[in-house]
Amino acid sequence: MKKAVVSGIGHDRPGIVAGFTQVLFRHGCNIEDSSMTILGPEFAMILIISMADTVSEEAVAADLEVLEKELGLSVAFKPLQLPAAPAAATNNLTPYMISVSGHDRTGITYEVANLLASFQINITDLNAQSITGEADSSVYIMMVEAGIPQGFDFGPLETAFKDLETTLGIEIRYHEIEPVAL
Amino acid sequence: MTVLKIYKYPHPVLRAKCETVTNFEDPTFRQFVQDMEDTMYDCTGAVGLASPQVGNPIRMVLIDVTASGDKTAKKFLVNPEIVQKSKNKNVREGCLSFPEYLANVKRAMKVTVVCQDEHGNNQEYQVEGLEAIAVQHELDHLDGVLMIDRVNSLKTDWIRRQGPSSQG
Ligand SMILES: [Zn+2]
Repeated sequence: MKKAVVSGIGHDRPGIVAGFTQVLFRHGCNIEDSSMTILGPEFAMILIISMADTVSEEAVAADLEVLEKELGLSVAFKPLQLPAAPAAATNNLTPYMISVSGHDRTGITYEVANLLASFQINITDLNAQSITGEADSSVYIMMVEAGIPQGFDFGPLETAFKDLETTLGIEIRYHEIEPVAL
Repeated sequence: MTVLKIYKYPHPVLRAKCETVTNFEDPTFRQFVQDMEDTMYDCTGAVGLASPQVGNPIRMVLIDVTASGDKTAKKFLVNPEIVQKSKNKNVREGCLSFPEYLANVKRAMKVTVVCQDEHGNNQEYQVEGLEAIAVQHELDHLDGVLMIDRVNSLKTDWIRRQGPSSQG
């Protein structure tokens, strides 16, 4: 069994998912995980697929290239290296929501992501929007989901957040994400 | 009749930790009570308003979930404190300080709040449903907490408003 990651981005229109899944079905590829979203006018999808060792990756990639032309998509196909050992242990990470907001300006996303990376904090999801705020100003709101190790010392991170709040004129708040009780 | 300006996010007054009200006879306070009433009833559909939203960071909110405009059901909660809460449920609420958005948040469906009224008399209210949601939302304002802070996902819990609905 081998795996690959397939992604496609293009102007949203009916038939993108059908086109993709038809190619995969024809080659006997199994979709293991998928994520799709629409941002502005663009549709984006990323799939993890698995296939028998006998399946030609080149043939799948070639058919996806045909789709690229037919549907006007940017398609990428990349064989996935299966890790010998499980990657970074994620089971002792606690999910946190870090919300960032302030008057819209360039560099907020980069500065926050860079700061989190410097604390070895892994971002698992990031969503952002501009909203209209006080006096019709444009306010940028970003929510970052991140896994934080148990026993993490928040002191230095809080200091770094405070510095960034002052430098960029933004607000940074965080809270643990409560698991949904079912 | 004075309709006060409602401050929108990210105005800093919305993050203020509000001051306890001590002098109920103060003419400035008396006038503010009247202005707050005028302001809330001027906003169609509003079911609650907190003092910091109109630029005065004191611990007072006004609630009227009937949104009928006849003012008989209005409750001023001054120096309020929630003393009892039922279990949380997911609800969708709006805020006059984020007029274009609705948020999915968790709120208790029944709360008991002790407070004073606008004349300084001690009161205790047991409220439920929309009124309980409104009380919790408005009391958050007194601690500088906004609905954006109660959201767990921008993608699923932060919704651009389609049409008018109740807000506070
Ligand atoms: Zn509000």
